[in-house]
This record gives sequence, structure tokens and C-alpha cells, in this order.
Amino acid sequence: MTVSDGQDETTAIAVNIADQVENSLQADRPLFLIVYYEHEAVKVAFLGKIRQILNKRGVTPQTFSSGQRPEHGVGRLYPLLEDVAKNGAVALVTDLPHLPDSIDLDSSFLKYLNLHRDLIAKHHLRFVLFLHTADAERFISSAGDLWDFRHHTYWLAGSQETAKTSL
Amino acid sequence: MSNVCCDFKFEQITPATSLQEIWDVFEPTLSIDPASEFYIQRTDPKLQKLTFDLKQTRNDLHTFLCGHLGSGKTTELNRLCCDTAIQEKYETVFLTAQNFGSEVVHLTHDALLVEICLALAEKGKECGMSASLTQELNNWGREVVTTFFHDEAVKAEVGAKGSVWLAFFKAQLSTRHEWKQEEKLRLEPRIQDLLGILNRMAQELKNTTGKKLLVIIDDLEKGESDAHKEMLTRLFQDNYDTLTQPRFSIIYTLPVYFRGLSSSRIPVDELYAFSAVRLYEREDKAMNRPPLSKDNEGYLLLRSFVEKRLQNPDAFFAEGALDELLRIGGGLFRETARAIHEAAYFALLRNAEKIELADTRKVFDQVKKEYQPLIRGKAINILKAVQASPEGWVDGVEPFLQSRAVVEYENGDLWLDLRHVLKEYVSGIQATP
Repeated sequence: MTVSDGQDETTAIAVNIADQVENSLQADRPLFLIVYYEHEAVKVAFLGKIRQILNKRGVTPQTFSSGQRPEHGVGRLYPLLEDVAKNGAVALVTDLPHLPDSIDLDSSFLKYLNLHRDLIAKHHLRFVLFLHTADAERFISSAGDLWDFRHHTYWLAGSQETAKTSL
Repeated sequence: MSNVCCDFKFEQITPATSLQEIWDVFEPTLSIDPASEFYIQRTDPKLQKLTFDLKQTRNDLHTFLCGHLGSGKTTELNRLCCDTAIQEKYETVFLTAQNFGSEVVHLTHDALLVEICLALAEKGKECGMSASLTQELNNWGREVVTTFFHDEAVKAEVGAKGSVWLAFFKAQLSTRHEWKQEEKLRLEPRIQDLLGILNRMAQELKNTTGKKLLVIIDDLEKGESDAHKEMLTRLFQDNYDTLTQPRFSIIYTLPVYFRGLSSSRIPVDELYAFSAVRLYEREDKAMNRPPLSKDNEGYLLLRSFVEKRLQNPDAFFAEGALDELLRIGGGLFRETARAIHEAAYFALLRNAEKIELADTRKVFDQVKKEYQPLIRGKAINILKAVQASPEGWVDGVEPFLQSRAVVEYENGDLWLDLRHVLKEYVSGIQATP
């Protein structure tokens, strides 16, 4: 686990996550990482970076968008994560569903995530969950038991402009 | 249903010989086999009493185990299951609320009894119990569902097959809060019938196995939403009498704040609670960095929790680093494991071979930052009041106990304190109006 000199902070986070993924795969342990972001563009740029680094290391990440795709939603996500774990890969869960016409996270999805968090340890699930900083309190309050299982939290810094340049 | 003793596969670990292995053996979701050398024998009086009471009693015990998330409740329940004397005396059935369906917040007292009934029926199959009692349960379920469902198609479907009623019964729980008093009164006698079936199942299991029955229901305390609180109130305040009627022993788990509830209907002698492991004196709680009581049993217990997982503990921690990580862990096992896991991670990032104080500082900042989204508005005043008062019991503290921003300790009296990582931060900020 090393951060090379000259790496920008976002790249360093991506490298660290890739290190954690490799370590958890080698040790056959679960991995649940949280990445907070403030700007969508920063997240998108970061996703590109992390995919590239993981691919170079021979790990193909699978992306799930619970916020956009119902087939990655309630009742569906954990089985998908289990498949990813069986294939020795890592999942990137890029967003969580919000209530229609609301800025609030969908509580039924949070309950689902929370209730079945023991599957993380049971099936050695490995996934990185991307959360907007504005959703942090709601996530911690509504899915506190899941939050308790986190292995590490990262905060993506940077503005939309920086992200565009990076893209 | 998961019988932890029989079905759960505990992770195998060996004492760590490198930082990389430390990162691995302190993985926070790791479940430790209570029969292994890594299990730490707790000495909490209430835990010892629970084991003693279960072993000695001739009666059926209905008990309530409460404690923080990550404080070792499930580990202790696993240990109970594996205790030879308990195994000789009891046939144990271990249930987890995680298997009750995705909407556990709608759980009612009769639904909980149904879950126990289903588990006993399953156990009965293994033990050669006759199928007639399972048939009685199915008849009961069909009757209840057809009484309260008015859709003819549903009634026809429920009547057609053995256990189809269960899906409709569970689906209907989400609308129970809309029930009129009249409907609730109509259900009451059926619950007595259900208790009858449950007791007959327990008796038959006892006759078949020659042992008393012990049902453990874990994870009822998980969840922090208002709906969870309402569920717990509905179960253990409004229907305490029903849930203590079965003629066999039951252990229910409860959230940590339950023992501080002045309105709780659960008698003190039925409540077996344990706090976080105390690392310092209550008199010092006002300090941002209270001195550790190094001769105290609690400190020694947590040190042994760490040291048992290491080949050579002195080799991996710079002076004072382990103590700092114990402080960050707040006397909670999972939080302590996470602090060490994180510290090993930061040390590995530096290509170091030892965890230094600089690494523990990063863990401190990391955990503090993780909690910051919770510390806004009214929360600031509540947390300031917790730290300022000797006992720390202030209105509105329950959610912070659940998230472990506040931790409960015991030495004679129960007292609450803010997590070490938050003290300086909370005392330094002003509440927003």
C-alpha cells in the first residue's frame, strides 16, 4: 500500500482503494468502502480512474447504479454483489435511489441494505459505495448497522472544473 | 433460520506476525469462534448471571439482553450456545431478525410468535416431531388470514395450499397500524391459540430430545429509525405480557438505551445488560483525554483482546500507540478492531513496520470526520450536555447511543460519555439555532 510522490489526492485515493481490493482478495476477506463526493463530475472522473487502475491490476470492477436502475435496487443488489464476490472481483455502487421528486434517499432501499448487511461478512462481499456528502447523515441514521461494517471512508475533494480537466 | 453454533462458519485466524496480517485479523466484520483462543472471557456481572441463571433455573426464563452495537452481544450469545452445560440442558434454537423479511419494522408480537413457531416446526422435523403440530400452525394461519383478508380470491388461494397463508400474513403486517380497535380485539383470542400451539411444540420437542427449549432471538435491536423504535415499543412495552407467556426460555436482544428507559415494562431482574468496557474513571469524563485506568479490569481485558491476535504485540506498536487506539475504540470491541485495522492501513501506506502515534492520529481524525455529519443543530447541545453532566443521561441521547457517538459505561452506576474522538470537537463548536 503505497502512495507515490507526485500523485494528486484523487489518484492516491484510487490507488489506495485498489490496494485494499487486492489485499482483501488475497486474504479472502470482505471489503466495504465508502467514498463521499460533492460533485457528480468529480465522482464520474474518479470512477474512470479507479476502473483504469483496477483493470491494470487484473481486477475487473462491475458497476451498479441502484439509483438509476431498479434491477440493482431492493432485493437485487446483494445477490449481484455475491456474484461479483464469487468471481473474485469488486463492485462499484455508484449511487443510491432517492424518493421521487425528493432529495431524500429512499428509506426502503436503506432498510434493505441495512437489514442484510451480515451478507457482507458471510459471502465476503467487496464493494465501494459512493455517497453524496449531503446524504451522509441520512445514510448513517437509517443504515447504521451497515455503516458499522465499513472498512474505510474516503472523501473526494475537488471542484467540477478540476474534474472536467481531469476527464 | 441460522443456528449459529451449528451452521455459522467462523473465520479462522492465526496471530498476526506482520502489519499486513494485523490489518487482516482486525477486520471489523470478523466473527470470532467463542470456543477459540481468541475469545475474550467477559466478566460483566450481568452476563455471568445470565449464564448462571440459565444453567441453574428450573423455570422458564424470559430474558432481555441489551448492549451497544458491536459490544459483543452476538459473540456472547454464540458462547452461550456452545457452553457444554447449556448444551446438555437445552435444545437451542437461534433466530435472527434478519431472516424475518425485509420489513422487520412491521413486526408484531403475534408475527414474532409465528417466527418462533416456524423455527420450532423446522427443529421438530430434525428431531422427528410429528407433523400434526405444523398442520395446526397452518390451520391457525389460514384462519387468521381469511378472517382479516376480505378479498375472496386471496381466501381461495390461502385455503388451497398448506403454507401459502404465511406470505399473506407477512404482507398484511404493514397495514396493521391502520387496524381499528375492534379488529385488534378479534385477533387477541387467536394469539392465545398460537401460544397454545407454541407450547405444545416446545413440550413435544422436550419429550423427543429430553432437553428444555431455549430460543434466542438476535438482531431485534438493529435499526435506528423511528419505525424501529415504534416496533420495539409495540413488542416490548405494549405486548410484553404476551411475549413472556411461552413455556420455554427465550432471550430477546434489545438496544442499549432500553435499560435507561424510565417507562420500561421489563422488570430489572429480566434485563441482562452490559455496557462498553470501561477504560477510565467517571470523575475524569469532563477531560478531553481522560487518563486510562491501567490497573483496571476493563483496560486489561481490551489489551488482551488485542494482544491475543498478535504474535509479538510489542513489535507492532510504538510507545503509547496501542493505548491511543483503545481510547479511540471507546471500550467497544468492533470499534477497537476497526481502529487497529485502520492504524495498520495507515502504517502500511508509509511502508512502515510499526504503528506510530502519527498513524493513530490519522485514525482519530478519520473517525471524527466520519461522525461529523451527525453533529449538527440540536445534536450539538445534546452531546455537550452528555459531556457536562456526571451521568450523561440527557433527553434525546438515544440515537447517539445507537451510533456510538455516545457510549454507556458502568462502575456501580451507569454513566454515558462522548466518544474520545468527538470530545474536543464538540466542546469547540457552537450550536446552530
